[in-house]
Amino acid sequence: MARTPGPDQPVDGGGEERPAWDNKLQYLLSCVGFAVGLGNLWRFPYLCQTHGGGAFLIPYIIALAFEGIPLFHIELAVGQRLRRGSVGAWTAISPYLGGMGLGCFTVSFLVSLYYNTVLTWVLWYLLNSFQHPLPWSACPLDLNRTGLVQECRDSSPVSYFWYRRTLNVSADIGDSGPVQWRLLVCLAVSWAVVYLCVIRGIETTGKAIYFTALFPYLVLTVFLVRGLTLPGAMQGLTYLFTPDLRVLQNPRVWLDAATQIFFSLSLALGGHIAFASYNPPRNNCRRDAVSIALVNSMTSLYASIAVFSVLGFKAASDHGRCLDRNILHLINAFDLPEQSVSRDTYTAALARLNASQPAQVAGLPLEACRLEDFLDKSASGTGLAFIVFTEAVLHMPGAPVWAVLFFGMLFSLGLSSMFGNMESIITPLLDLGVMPRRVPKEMLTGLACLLCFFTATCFTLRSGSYWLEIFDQYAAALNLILLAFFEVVGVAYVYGMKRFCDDIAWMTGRRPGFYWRATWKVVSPLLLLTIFLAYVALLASSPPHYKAWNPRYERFPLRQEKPYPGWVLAACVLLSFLPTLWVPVVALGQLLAQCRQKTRDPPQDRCPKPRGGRAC
Amino acid sequence: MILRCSLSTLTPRTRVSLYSVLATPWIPRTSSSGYTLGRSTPPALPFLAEPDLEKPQRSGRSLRISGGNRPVFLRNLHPAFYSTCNNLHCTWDSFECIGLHGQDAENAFKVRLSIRTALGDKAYAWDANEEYLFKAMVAFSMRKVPNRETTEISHVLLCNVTQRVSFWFVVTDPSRNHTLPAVEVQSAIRMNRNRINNAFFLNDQTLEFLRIPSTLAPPTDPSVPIWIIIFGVIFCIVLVATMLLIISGIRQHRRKNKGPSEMEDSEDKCENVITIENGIPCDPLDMKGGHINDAFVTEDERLTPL
Repeated sequence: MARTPGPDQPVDGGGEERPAWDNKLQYLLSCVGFAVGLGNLWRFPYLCQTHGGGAFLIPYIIALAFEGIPLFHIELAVGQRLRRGSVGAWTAISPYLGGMGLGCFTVSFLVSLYYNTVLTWVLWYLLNSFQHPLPWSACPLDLNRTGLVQECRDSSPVSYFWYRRTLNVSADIGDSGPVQWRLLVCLAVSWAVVYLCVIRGIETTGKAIYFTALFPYLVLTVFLVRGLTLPGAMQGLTYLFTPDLRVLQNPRVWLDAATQIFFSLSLALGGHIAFASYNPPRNNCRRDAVSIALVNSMTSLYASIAVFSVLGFKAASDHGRCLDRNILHLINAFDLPEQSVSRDTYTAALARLNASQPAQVAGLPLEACRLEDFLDKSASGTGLAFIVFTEAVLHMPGAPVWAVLFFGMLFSLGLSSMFGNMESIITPLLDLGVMPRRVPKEMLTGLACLLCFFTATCFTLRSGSYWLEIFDQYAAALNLILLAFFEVVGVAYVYGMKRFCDDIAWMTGRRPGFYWRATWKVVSPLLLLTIFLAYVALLASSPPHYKAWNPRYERFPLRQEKPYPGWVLAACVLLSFLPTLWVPVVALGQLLAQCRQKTRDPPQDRCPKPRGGRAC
Repeated sequence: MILRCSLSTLTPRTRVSLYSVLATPWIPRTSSSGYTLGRSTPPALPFLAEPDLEKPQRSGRSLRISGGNRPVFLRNLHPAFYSTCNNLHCTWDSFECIGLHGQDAENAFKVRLSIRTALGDKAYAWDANEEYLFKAMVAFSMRKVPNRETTEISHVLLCNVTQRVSFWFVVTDPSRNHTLPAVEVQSAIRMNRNRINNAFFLNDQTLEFLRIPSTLAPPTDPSVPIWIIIFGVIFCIVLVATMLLIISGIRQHRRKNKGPSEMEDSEDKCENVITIENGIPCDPLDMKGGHINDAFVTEDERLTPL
């Protein structure tokens, strides 16, 4: 591939021809697929709902403009310019920063472990959706067939199916229990699908991404149309999107917006660097960065409209059923004819009966049914997907179809994100030349997937879901923020803003303007540092605890809050800091190596100065 | 106003004393705002709550029939029946179940029907004929119990029919002296629940026998769970596709090693395995097992057969 050499053009990674995207669309879809993941569906709507509805968009857009897009542009530019994966790229920028690539690599490995476990759960639900009635619609019978299983009766069929039939969760994180074979086989299939798609790197993911990136949009549209036609959808939408500007005074809201945009774009994992490294060198990465970030945010909004309309429907139908239960109590107790009290006349009838026979009415187990209470029930993460949404789907006509569509969408959303994760693991391995040249790429990817599969079996234990929460909270969050901070500082100050601007000018044809330089030099690093400190403060403010599903808890079905045992806390701390430790370790190692070399050849005495940055 | 009625014509061996209280009519009125129940609402177990029979009952007209020393039933005021109730001529059709003591009270069961919920527009009205059918079904169920083959419809007593449609029933023995034990009635109903439901086009949820648990239907487990089938399908597809990709990759690799790589870039740097001379990779001889001049490789070897 003929290339006009640019300034300081480094040797291409490994020297052999680098794979390339078949066309620009594949690259864009891969980046979009990597960025758009499960979080767009189940985290953003929850944040909107709990942080003042439409008002949440204000901090979100501000974070997007000052943190999301600048960081994203840096990643794409670095990858495209240096044409290597994260490890090679950061080593090329400065040998002292080589640890960053290793840190990104480690975090990607940890993230892909638990991310694919979530996909395993999604796959399990998908496999169980091909039947009518759906298995989570009714409680199973107990052993002597006289009643329903008690755990299910006390909670709900949907919760029972999730906690017992899927996870078979233990009551304590220390109680690991045996490996759940059902989850194990689903995990195997999950990793097999991932392997099938990344087997030859971007050659195969580029083909698979056409489906996995576009299918979720199709399904979201279908759900949107279906959701908007369901009763109660409009109430849900208006209630959940109504802005409440007072939330802007709460710093937690700003922190959540910043972290959401950060994790939503999948920054600092090294995946975007890997994807961009397969680009032709002269590609307008600035336009790509802005457009992909905007597509990601638009997708979040689109998804939340679909989700809210379904949640509104669910709240309305739950409210109706609550009223029906109360009406049934009244009718049975007072022997009123059937259907003599309707949902509309319920309040009047209750008042009348209460006036005439208050003692008897007081003895009835009537619930308070307010629509706002049902609308306020919020859930995020796995709770939204596996409990709230599955219950909502039960009440739609043609439930299995909707369940299949929903879980199929979740699976392809997660799969396209997994491609990015695996690329950020495999590309550095290929660049570093870990395996001898004669070993085909298929074997490398196979070994990587196999290793990840075996390590991820720990999440199929009975306490697996508790560990997954730990990984999600501690392994990913803090490390990524720190690594992103080092990224920005590394590029702006170590690599040099002038050099970087020159490179971008060579690649895109235009120097970055003031907005870019200001955000890279000042705004983004400050913002990231603030977020990191705020996050640490938040984590430290309360002793870490988790919510256990314990059928013997006296307030079951509420989840029991338990503190982490000491050894788990130690694991949390390790997870939080080990990946980032690569940075100082490698920097120190490089320093020692350089100084040793300096003492060995005194005339060439130079500890190389870090390439400095004058402002462009 | 106390009404006394003699039932000696119907029960020659029992002395009957009856009294009723005429207060506001017990029959519920339909009004636009819903139902009003006159004086009171029957508690869940009226007879257990009000064991004292001498007190006039709140719920309107009632008759107490006592056989010997033990009161059995009280007569009720089903609208259809009320018109036929006068001092002498009373039928055993519908009876209000207040004033049962002890064992008799325990042997009565409350039944609740939700006809309109089950049938919607096709709902039928609950009248005396339906009650007759119900008594017939209960008698039929009892007949299936050994030692109770002589149960007649007249042994089944219904009482306290409300507009909800709910009522109490009890089954007496042929001597009409005492009621059959609850356990027997319970097991009989459970055995024939399906027939009883079908007679009324209802199901276990809409025809409720309180205190008689229904035998829940066994779960319809297919021999192989469906998820395993789908799992097998997906797994096979993935396995086959992976095999195909791996095999085609191996073939491509071999073809690349075999043929001249003019289609590849000449910058290919091969470390140990393949050495390049003039842009043409030379394979190690042991791979070919002979001396072959690569420049004369035939066309079809380079083209992919797939």
